[in-house]
Amino acid sequence: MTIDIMAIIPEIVLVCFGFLVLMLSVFIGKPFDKAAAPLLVAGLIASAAAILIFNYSNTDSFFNMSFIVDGYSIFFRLFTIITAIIIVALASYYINGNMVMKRNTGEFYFLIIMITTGTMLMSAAGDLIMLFISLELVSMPTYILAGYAKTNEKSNEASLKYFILGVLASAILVYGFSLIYGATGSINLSGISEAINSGNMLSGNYLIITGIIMALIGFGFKIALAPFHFWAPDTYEGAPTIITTLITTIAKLAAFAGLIRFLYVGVSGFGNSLWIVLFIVVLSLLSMILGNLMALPQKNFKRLMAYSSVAHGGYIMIALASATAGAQWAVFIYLMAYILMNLGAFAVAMLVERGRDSEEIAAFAGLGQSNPFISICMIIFLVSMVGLPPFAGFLGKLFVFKAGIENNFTWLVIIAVLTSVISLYYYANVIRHMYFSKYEGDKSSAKVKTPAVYLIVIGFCALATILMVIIPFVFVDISQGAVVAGF
Amino acid sequence: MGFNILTLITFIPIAGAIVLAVYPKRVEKSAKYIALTFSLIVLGLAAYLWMIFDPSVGGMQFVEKYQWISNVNIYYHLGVDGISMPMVFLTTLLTVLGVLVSWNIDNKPKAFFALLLLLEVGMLGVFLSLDFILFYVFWELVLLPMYFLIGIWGSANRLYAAIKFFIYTLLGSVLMLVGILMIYFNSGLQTFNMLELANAGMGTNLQNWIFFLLFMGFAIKVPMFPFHTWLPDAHTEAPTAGSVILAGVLLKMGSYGFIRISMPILPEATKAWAPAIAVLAVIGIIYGALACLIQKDLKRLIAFSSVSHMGFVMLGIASLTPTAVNGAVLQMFNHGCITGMLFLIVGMVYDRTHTREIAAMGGFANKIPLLSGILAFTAFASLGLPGLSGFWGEFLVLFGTYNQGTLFSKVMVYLAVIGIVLGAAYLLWMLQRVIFGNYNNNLGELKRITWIEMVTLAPLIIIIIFVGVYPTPLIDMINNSVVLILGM
Repeated sequence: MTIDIMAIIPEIVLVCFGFLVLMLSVFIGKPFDKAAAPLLVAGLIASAAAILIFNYSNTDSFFNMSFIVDGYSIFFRLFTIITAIIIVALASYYINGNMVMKRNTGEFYFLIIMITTGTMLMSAAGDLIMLFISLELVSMPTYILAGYAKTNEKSNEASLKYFILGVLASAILVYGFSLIYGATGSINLSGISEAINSGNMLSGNYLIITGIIMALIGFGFKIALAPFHFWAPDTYEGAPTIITTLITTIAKLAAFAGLIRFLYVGVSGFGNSLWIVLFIVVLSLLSMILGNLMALPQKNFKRLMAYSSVAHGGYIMIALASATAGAQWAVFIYLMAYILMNLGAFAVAMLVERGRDSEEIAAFAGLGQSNPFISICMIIFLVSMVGLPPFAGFLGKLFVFKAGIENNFTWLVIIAVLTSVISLYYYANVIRHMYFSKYEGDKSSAKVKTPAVYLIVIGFCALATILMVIIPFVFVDISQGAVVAGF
Repeated sequence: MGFNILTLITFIPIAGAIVLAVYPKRVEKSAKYIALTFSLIVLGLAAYLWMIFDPSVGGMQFVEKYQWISNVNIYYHLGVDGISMPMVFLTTLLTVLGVLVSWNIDNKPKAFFALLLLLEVGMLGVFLSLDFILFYVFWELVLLPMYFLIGIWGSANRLYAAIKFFIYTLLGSVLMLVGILMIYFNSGLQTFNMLELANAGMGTNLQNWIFFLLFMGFAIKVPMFPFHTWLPDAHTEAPTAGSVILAGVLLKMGSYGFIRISMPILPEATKAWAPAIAVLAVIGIIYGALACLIQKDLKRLIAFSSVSHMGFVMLGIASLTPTAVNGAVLQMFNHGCITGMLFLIVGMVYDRTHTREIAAMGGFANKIPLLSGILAFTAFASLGLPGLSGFWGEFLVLFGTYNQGTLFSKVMVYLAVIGIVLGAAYLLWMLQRVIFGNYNNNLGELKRITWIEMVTLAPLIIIIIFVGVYPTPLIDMINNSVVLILGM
């Protein structure tokens, strides 16, 4: 039992820091606000250190196989922590400028830490209960945070919509889990896999197939895959931008971490089931087409990113439909690229929003003239999202498409590349505003303020986006080390 | 090997772009000297490469190969042969000229020259890479700088032209990417090495599919007849340096792809598709020439003439005989020089008159005699006057195609000859309207040609005359590699 505890020390450390910040903020109040973010970053780093110290040497499953430490969970947990550090750093400046957001600094950060913890637990989850609990641990604070700008009507709408649809999805998910439990008699993922394979259930047992597809719907909702994406545009738009960033990075990471573990370990032979593969293909197809087409007419940057994230989810699902180990690390590469460029793009968007008081794409006008550095970085992020080399998005798309073609989904890949050409139009539209049109607002706000922490984050993301293509072998090695296989 | 000359050639422009990026904005005016220095260094290296290049070897020389992503067999693999050598030289030369012709640019010169150098990296990389993924990276690298060159420094309708160029060419290249990945898996070799894949031996049916995907990428770039609509817009709206490089080098990337990739890797599909390509090529030749006849805009006229002239390149490629393919490669080089030069001259004329309307021009022979003379010279080279370089490419293409001896190929040649006649017609008529006739006094006094413009045009004049009089060394060099690629 003592050894079991050792495995979750990173999470324990993190939660302790979360509570510490919450308590200090309650008891000390305003004077503590400035120290909250640095303290949390310290906590996140301590948690990462704990992973390196306690987990690398001790890969096994713990707590009656509900918590698994392996390459997969180590990769996702470290990656989550890095993302969380960036988000906390961005938040420290973002909430400063907003009276409503500023009111309870400790509470705000505490919720972010809960989401981070949930994501970390999710990637290590070894049974259905753990999967469900950690998914809820991610979701609940996200609902709250989406409505955190409580005087803003849109923020309220975002939160309510996300909450109602999210709970519905959770219900579907847990119902699916119950069917799986009923059919296999096990809640443990490897136990489920054993029962399915020994009973040859994927060919003809519709109880289990229904259960799995319901679980996929639940995850599909959290990832925002079409046709379960309807919450995304409104929530992305209404939520405070820092929370939108969080939803599109950490929350998405959580859902993918759970989904991949669930499919590859729990339903290890899912590639042989026509129904499941077909369902994944349909999700992928609809997400790519709807996501990219609906993004075309958007005028609000956050709505645009919502649809773009739907489309990116669709691309990733191509690899998952292939159901091979090679497809799995392609997904990891894609996720790394996706999160880097999203963090960067949202960081720029937050600066523009703050400086020019508008979330419209038109607010980017003339940015290339007034803020050359962040504009060039923004080009890198946007072009990377299209999937053009030499940027990270290209590497992700390359490997995902490679996995698709390897497994005879050439037609799906062709649709993917065609839709990515469509995506060029709306990403280029942002570039067009930045470089080819003049800023119409008043002169004083033309040059957007760029605090050092944002410049560091944006520069880091841009550099990483380029490095992923120049030294891809590093990232390929990392992602191949994280591949998880069924038993 | 001593030092990696190909890597140096490819990446020195990036160093230039980085220097320009950190160059202080106060002294932005002097950015052109930096750009000129770097592009001259690259040109010097390319010239040096040509000197030490052994033209009698058909295969790849100065090969550099390093592992890039080991798990999936992606290599950093460069090499140069008789086909890419002239293209590399052309690229480096036209970049220098592009810098010179933009000498007086005052709108964000720093960014302009940095983009020009980035563009050069992409083009050089395409001609030098021997690994598919590397090739694709460089292929796409060209798009973004060109998008900005057209979008920021272009003329009135630039936004439309820029995005049309971007989307259209991206459409082709992503389909090409699918084709590349299909080759990777279906060749059974699991490699992206272009040279090894020549021995792949895939089934004919599969080859046809893959050929179609690659065809979309290359044909849009060339551009072949039904996919050419982005070209007139992009060429017309782009700044002079952009048009020169678009017409001079970018279009060649497409035909180069056919020769380097489709021919050796998909030989059976190339044979099967050749007649269709020939027909499209001939339609392009005649359609392009006819379109030239009705153009009111001088720059647009030259843009359409590119469609016509690239038709000859594609006709040569489609004939699949060494003579005609030699002609195609030679025509690629010559068209780069000649059309590049036409765009340079149009740019110079525009700087003086601030109009591109042919109707508003006339009588230039009296006002700017030397520039008019050079324009006439280039037009003659373009219509294929024997003794100037334009002649040899078209001649070899037609000769090689005719020599195939089939009725089909003969008909193609007859039709292409009509294109040559039309070519003479539109070029001469253009000269008549621009150089001769009465001078339109609204244009005011025209400045005589400056020394910097002379320096810009002189190298191309020399090359056009030299290749026109003595093309043998160039043809020999090309021939050795073409024979190897055709497997003869």
